[in-house]
Amino acid sequence: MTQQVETAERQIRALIEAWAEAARRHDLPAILAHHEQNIVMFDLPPPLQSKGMEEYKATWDLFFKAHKPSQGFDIEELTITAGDDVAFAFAIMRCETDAEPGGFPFRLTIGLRKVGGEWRITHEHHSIPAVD
Amino acid sequence: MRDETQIRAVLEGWATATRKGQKDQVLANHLADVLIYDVLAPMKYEGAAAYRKSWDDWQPDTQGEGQFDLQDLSITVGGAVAFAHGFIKCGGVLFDGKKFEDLVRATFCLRKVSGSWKVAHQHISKPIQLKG
Repeated sequence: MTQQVETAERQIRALIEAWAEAARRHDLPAILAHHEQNIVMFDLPPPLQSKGMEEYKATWDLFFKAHKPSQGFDIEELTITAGDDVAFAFAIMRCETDAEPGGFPFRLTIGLRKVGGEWRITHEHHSIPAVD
Repeated sequence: MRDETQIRAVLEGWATATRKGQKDQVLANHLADVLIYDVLAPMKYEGAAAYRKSWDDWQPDTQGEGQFDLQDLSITVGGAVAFAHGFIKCGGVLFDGKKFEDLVRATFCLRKVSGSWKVAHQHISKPIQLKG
């Protein structure tokens, strides 16, 4: 692995950890700090997709109702693959809510582009397996 | 542009093999250590062999050729790393005579290996209404 790739993967890991930490404390500006305006989000609950920053931002309203700042929103497994200016990451996360105090695991995939020297998130896909 | 064309061909090839139930072709352009988050349980498949086994064991099969079409595919490529997201319109008649139709979200993450694009990760899901 080249030093450049190692640096990129370290930067992206820090970015995703900061994003999860911001979600845990309900800090919306920090949650949105590394997202592009044209973000396309496939969220765990409906709708099918949320396009653009305003719709992405709105997906967090539901999260803030279900999750309290003392509860977990934790990365359990994280794999990052970075090129020069495009990268992806996938993770298993655990989210605690009042309805699920022990937490439930969910899947997360993130797509990033390097814009103006900084890694920016352009795509997120959150899900749990469907029952049927 | 050439990379984007090749990636589109890889993903369309996957969709065609899935639609036709060509079990040995489905993962023709997936890495052996691909990590798959599929629409139904389990949470994840680690490796092409584990996913291939699920096809033999239980993946739903349709009578004749069902519908399985990639839609609105958006591809981001840089160097040897790429990701793509879009929708899959699927449907058909199961062997018990039950008809189904669904629109699901799909994210594909790819790496260029020895000049060919290979799927390193794919994530397919539909939105789930959470309890509480």
